[in-house]
Amino acid sequence: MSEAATDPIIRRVEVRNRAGLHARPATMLSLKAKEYDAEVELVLVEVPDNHHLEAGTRADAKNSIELISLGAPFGTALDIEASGADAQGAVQALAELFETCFGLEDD
Amino acid sequence: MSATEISQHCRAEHCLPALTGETKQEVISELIESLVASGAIDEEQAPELFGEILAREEEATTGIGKGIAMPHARRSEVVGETQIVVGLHAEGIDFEATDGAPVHVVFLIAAADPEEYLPIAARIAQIARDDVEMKALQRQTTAKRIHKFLAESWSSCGAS
Repeated sequence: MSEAATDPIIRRVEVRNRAGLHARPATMLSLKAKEYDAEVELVLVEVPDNHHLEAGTRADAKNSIELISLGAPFGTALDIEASGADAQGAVQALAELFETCFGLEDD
Repeated sequence: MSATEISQHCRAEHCLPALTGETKQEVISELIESLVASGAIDEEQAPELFGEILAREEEATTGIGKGIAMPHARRSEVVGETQIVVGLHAEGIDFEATDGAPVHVVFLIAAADPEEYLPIAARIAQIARDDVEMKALQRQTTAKRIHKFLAESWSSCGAS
């Protein structure tokens, strides 16, 4: 019998740093996500008017370039979705980065 | 930011098909030189822009992996309007990139308004995340071709 796929762990977060999800936060997220075996994605929950991407667009959290391509400004809601043995830990670690504004003061 | 808007920030004379600098600093200077040559900034402003961009680079590399770097100033005091300069480097340069790989494509962004930086970085990353597009970009051999390629790429991807 094949192993049943488990549901992904999902947590909603918000971009809280004023400058948005630019290169540095994206790099920090990808480096953190790479510490886990789980597959982790960020999903745009909603986008501002005239945004270049639609809500529902996904990015591999381990790929900083994909994260930057989301162009998520301040206030954007995103879902962190993770699947795999250490998915819970991965979601928690990434959510903490959002909650602490990536440790970037005046950003 | 629409495809048209982003293309307006990237002029053909700011597309450099063959960078020759051998270090990160030399390449950034070379990119800034094109802004001087086109009259987008004054010659005496070049050192200031160089300083703004290097200061950001010293905080953390903008070599974001896959052979791409995005040195930038998010709130440049120098440029009247936001400028994007693109350069290709055949041999590749050490940008202390996050993945350690040499950088072959450099997008320099000097943003007059920090609000413009994020959508521009996102549109550049949209091209960068696509390996086929990146390889195609690196095959463009003239400024005009790079410029045309980017304009077409931006207008074909994304919702607006």
